Amino acid sequence: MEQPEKHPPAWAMRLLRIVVHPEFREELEGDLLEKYQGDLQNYGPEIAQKRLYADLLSLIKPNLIFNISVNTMKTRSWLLLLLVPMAVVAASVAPFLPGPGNDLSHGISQFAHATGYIGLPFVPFGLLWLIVEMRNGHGQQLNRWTNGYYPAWLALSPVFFFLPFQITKTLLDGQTFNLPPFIMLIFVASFCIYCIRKLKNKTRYQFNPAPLYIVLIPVVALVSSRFLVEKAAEVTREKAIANTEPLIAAIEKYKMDNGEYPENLASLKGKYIQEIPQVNIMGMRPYQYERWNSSFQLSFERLWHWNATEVVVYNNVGQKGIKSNYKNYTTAHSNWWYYLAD
Amino acid sequence: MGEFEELILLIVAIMNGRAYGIGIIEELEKRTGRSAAIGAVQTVLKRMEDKGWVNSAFGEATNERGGKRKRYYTITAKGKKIASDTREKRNRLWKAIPKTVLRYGAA
Repeated sequence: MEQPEKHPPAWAMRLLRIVVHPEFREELEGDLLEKYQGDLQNYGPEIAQKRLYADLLSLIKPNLIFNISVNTMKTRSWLLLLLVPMAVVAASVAPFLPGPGNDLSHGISQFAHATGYIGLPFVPFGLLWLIVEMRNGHGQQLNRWTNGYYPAWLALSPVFFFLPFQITKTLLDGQTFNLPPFIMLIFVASFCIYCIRKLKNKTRYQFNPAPLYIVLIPVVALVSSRFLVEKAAEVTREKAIANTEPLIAAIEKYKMDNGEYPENLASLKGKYIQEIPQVNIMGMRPYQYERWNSSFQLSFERLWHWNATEVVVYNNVGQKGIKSNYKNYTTAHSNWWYYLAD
Repeated sequence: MGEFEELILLIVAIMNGRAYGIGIIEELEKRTGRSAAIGAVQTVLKRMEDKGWVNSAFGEATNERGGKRKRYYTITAKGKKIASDTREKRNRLWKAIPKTVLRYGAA
């Protein structure tokens, strides 16, 4: 009867079979066993086992697990894989990027935000398809599961549940103005169906990056809108506030000279300030000025929430003239606060 | 081509049709004194196969391998050209070094 230490631990070999790509399993298992036998003779069971664990760890490499390497995808595909998440992040933070104020940046950001949520149900199916795609090997005869045909239909399946339901609901509620995005989705789904049908007869191995995008785009969109947007909003708000310092100083100087606050910002031009400062952040609207009896209010608005406008307000005596019961949020600057209006 | 890739490609060429995972590791250690993990060697072999520098085919199974077959690697024409180009580049660089620099004891 053989001694148990003559064989490596069964769990280690089982782990190897699970982890490494099926195409490499036999060769790597044989290599590990041969090395173990050699180490057993040279160093004894204890060291042989330690070396086996080290060798097992060394096999945890992407191209041994998934059979994917830099050559599996074309350069163009790798470049796209880098550019698409960057574009998603840029779209998410579009209202906070430097540039002339416009509402389009808000629309783009909301689109990226919605993509994150709408794309979320597709992620598990995309992940399944991705695993199938990555476990394929060169020279392997592909069937309708391994060529991605069935996984792609599965990945598209949430559309068949949600789209008819949402369209019916929209029509029943009489919100026909909400229909254009659904019509666009129908076009996108039709294009996807066309692409899936082309997969049906694919027999030769070639890595398809489509499931990678199904997983990547919603995840990147969600992560960036959840974590990046809040921070970008805070930074740009503070920047826009700091930008008004010369303007506020000019208004106060006007008051000292004339005994009252100016009627509008144009009155300051020339003698008190060369140019009225501009916000220069895409999602922000120009500074607004309002003269009250013994004080003044400077404010700016910006769109970056789903259904609310952020109004950032300054009042030189700290008077809060908000007409409704909106909740106030403080900023790092004194007499500046903001609220979210419907 | 990286240094480790070059070493593995040369070992595959030296072993002339008898190169497989563990054999390559042993040959590498014998000829260069450098030890390598199975994972590192296999990753390089797969990458070189993707690039078309080596070919592989299953060989025989042995008892010590638990009845699992070896995968033998052979260098391809493309691999030979890459290895040769790399040697040419190295030679050109060696030739470009002034003799005074190579002389022992030179400051």
